[in-house]
Amino acid sequence: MLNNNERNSSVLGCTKCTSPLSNAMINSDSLTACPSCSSLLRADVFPAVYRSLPMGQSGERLQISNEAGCFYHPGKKAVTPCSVCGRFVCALCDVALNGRHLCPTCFEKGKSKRKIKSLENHRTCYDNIALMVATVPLLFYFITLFTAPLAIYLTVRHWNTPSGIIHRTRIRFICAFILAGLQITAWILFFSKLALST
Amino acid sequence: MTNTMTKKEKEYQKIRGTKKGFLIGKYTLWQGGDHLLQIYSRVGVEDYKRFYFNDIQAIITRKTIAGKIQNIVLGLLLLLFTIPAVLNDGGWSAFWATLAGVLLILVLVNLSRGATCETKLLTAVQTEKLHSLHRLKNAINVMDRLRSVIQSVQGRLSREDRSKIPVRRVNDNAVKGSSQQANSSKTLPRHEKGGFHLVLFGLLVLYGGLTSSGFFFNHVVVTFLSAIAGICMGIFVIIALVEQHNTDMSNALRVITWASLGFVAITFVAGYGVSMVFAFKNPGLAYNQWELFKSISSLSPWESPLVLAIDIFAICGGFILGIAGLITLKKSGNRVKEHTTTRAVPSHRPVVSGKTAAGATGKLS
Repeated sequence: MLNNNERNSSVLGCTKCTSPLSNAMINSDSLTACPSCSSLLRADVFPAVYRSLPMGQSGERLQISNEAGCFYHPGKKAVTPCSVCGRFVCALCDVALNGRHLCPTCFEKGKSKRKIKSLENHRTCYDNIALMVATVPLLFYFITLFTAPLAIYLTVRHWNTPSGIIHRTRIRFICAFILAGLQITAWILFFSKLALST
Repeated sequence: MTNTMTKKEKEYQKIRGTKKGFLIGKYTLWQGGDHLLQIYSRVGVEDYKRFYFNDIQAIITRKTIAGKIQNIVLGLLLLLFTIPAVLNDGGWSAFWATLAGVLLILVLVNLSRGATCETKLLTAVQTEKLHSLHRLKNAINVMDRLRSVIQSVQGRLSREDRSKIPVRRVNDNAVKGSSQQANSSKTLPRHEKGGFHLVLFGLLVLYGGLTSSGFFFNHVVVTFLSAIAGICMGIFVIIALVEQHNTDMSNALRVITWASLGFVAITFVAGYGVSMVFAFKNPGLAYNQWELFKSISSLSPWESPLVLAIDIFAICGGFILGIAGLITLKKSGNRVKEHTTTRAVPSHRPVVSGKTAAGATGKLS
């Protein structure tokens, strides 16, 4: 079993041949050749390489009866209140996240309901989808009869749904709406002409 | 309200560089207040990975040969399309010239973007590829900027700390015992002298020479020798590629060997194409292999533009790859000799046990 230091040092190898990096290669501003495979490398190493991983904590048992206990483990000593619900939690239940302390329930809720942005690792961008639904079917114009209303529905339904994590304007929604509107207008004109001619 | 908007806009700053997927998908990198955010976006969906500045242990950028290979492949295709554009007249010439023009633009764009690289970010629990940093020029610029940002969070790595990294590694190996040493030696690339490469490059030069002789005289023996050389090239290029795997062979030599594979494949396909065209034009000879072979041998490059184009390609490819390969092989041989002599001088490093040192010297000699 490797300790932290061993594990940390073992990661600093050439990314091609995994042979250890020499002193001269670390934090040099230029590319240096790997002594083993001659690949040109630049290695930027930071002090975190020496930091040991924090050990997991277990809750301390209650010694005195009037001490505050954990909400989830009544026999364990509370160390902090949850930043969201205020429940007391022990060291085992305490989830530290960006300077906040959360209980497991609030953490789980925050993740599933997307209330904690830093836990989100996936998003659906409806503005992109709406724009795609409005533009791609133009290649096969007859499909637009069905896709244009769908694009308008997506625009209206998800106008306020948060898009990607990077802030962006609603220009895609607007474009999708205009394009889909034009397509619907064109179909109305087509059918009205058809009706008049027959 | 305006303040909130400004805050939202400034939450992430785009870091230069984008890597597009094969058909769909795109990787981008963003700098947040306390972390880097890698986004993989594809049709209406985005996936995120965060790397907190405080957790980043190292970022390693390695120059790769992907860009060179792209340039070689595009260059060969450009050559292949330019020859018929020059030899043909009228509409066909314009068609080939257009294709060659498109390829020329692609080559120029690829050249202007510079060398390729692979950037990996290491934390205590993961090693993640930063896909968007795949061009060396951009990756170095970005790393210059990121290094100061990460250092402002973590502080600088002192010289004493820096010196500990390799020493500790080697010590670890020395302490772990012989079984661990055996394991670690397995991961180290082995030394390859390049005997098969030497034969391959020799054959390439020979092939170029035999093909160029076709401009002066045509004889069935020359064609027969060319065919034998071609087959041997095919065999030796595959052996050389297998042999160079996981060795200390230089990148240049590897590139030349891979380019040789491309060259051999193109010449095989072209040779097959010529024989097929000839067989279709002369259906009487199609059922007699020897007669067909003799007829192809008597074909002069001056008579057919197709044969001329293929011969020029074979001569250029054979001589360029063969001579470049032989020179690189000689250079890398000299470098290994120098390396062995410098390794024989006692190192300032404390550490390595007698066994390890003997093993290393034995491998290099």
